[in-house]
Amino acid sequence: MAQSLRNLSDKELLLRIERAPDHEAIGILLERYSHLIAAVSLFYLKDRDNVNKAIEKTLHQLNIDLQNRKITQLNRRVYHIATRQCMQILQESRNLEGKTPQPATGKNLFIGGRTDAAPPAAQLTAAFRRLAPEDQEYLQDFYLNRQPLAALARKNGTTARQVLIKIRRIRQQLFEQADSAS
Amino acid sequence: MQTASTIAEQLLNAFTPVHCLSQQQLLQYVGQKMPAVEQHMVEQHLVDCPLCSTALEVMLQPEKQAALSPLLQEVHAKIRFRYQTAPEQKKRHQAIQQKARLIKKEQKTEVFLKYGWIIVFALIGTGFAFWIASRPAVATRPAVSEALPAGGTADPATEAATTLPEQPDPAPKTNLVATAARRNTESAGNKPTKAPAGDTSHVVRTPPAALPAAPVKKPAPDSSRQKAVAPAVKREEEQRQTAPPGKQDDSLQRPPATTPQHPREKPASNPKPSLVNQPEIAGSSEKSIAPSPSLDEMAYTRAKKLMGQGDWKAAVDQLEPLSRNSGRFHETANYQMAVCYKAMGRKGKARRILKNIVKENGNMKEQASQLLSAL
Repeated sequence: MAQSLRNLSDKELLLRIERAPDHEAIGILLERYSHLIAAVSLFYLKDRDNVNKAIEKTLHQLNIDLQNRKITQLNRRVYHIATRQCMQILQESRNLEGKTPQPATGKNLFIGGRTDAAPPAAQLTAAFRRLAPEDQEYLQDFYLNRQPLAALARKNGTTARQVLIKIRRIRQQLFEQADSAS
Repeated sequence: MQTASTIAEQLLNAFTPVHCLSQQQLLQYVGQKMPAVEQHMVEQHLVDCPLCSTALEVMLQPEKQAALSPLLQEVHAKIRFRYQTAPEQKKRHQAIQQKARLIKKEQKTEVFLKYGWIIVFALIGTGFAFWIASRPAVATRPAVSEALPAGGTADPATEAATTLPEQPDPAPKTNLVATAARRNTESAGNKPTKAPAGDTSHVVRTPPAALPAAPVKKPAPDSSRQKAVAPAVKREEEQRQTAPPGKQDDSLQRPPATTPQHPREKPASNPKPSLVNQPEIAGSSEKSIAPSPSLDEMAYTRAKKLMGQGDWKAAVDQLEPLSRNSGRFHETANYQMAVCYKAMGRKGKARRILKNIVKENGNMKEQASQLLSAL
């Protein structure tokens, strides 16, 4: 039973949970995303106890959400919950230390918004043409010429992380323009 | 230059959702051990997925990557324990719940039993207390029943005579008897026999001799009984005169030899109770046998005397408290009261009392029914 569930995709598992509360399916989904949750917690928190606490809280919140809500993009939901829990723990620990709570550090790499459904091809092309030539080149190199991030970084004299962030921002811009045109 | 359609097609790929990266994929990507196509797919996903890109950032730091693998083992174990072993866990949980329920039930029953036992003990305790409280009145009954013959006797004086020697403590009895005897002799107008100073045996023995000395209408005396009793009395008197004081005390404790003969003779010689001969029989028995009468006995004897004198009302006054008590004179006192009421002409009252006696189904039942039929 567990093995057959493991072979199902996220979408299928979510559908299964939606139909009837499936403890095992929830377990498989949580296990599938656990390394990412742990990595996000490690990214924001230094203390091991806090990391454990954040993971625990995230898993608990996800379990509740999976049972009660319709989740379309699970990875975004997981990221949202995990970062929120980390921020809360950070704030709590800072309050205990007597420091004034500060906003989260600028380590958040995600800039783009939700992409529930891709815009129509015509609008997408029109939006692409409206982009700056430098941005068009970035997108063309990455999506059309399938160049790796490392190569693009070398070409532009930056890091792969910087290229990733730039491409993400241009992609978001493209999506917003195409969406507004439609 | 690529056509607009191919650009759109390629750009649409950018919005195609891709599964999040597994730990293995992330490690492969960090280690650059991936084919170019797959690497590009991963990078496309990294642009789209903040979760995986953050995870990649962690993977790129060696110290955090080292911390991640043991942490993941713990997390996986927790998840498997909580979610994937759910049926087993459920079974375990159910078993624990059942045990808890059983324990609760047991505790409840224990509490109920505890209270139950407390109530039972309380009831037993109160019952025992009541039994102790009512014990003196009941204690004399078996002695009466033992002393009575199978047919039962109507004469309470003989009952008293037969039962009294069995009473365990003679010392207070002598005082009681002495006072009772004094009262009796005063009421009868007779002088008590002079006893030598310090000789208690004389004090004890004189009242029964003095009791029948009251003026009683004597019909035909029962000669056979007198014959049987007289020599024994004579012998006792001789012993009293000759024996030293210590020996006399011993003889006092011993029951007289004539006692058991009297109740056995009585029903045969005098089966029908009558107004006249009843007090006479009592008197004759008291004369010879009863060595230490109680207060009830004294009251009964006085009532008999009054009956003999024809003072029915005074006799009823004497008998009433006895009839109210549940002592050994209860039934006979009732019977004598009925006799008194009959003599006073209050037949209805007499009948009621006799009916009660019959209803009680005691020793006097036969006599009561006979008198009732006579009424």
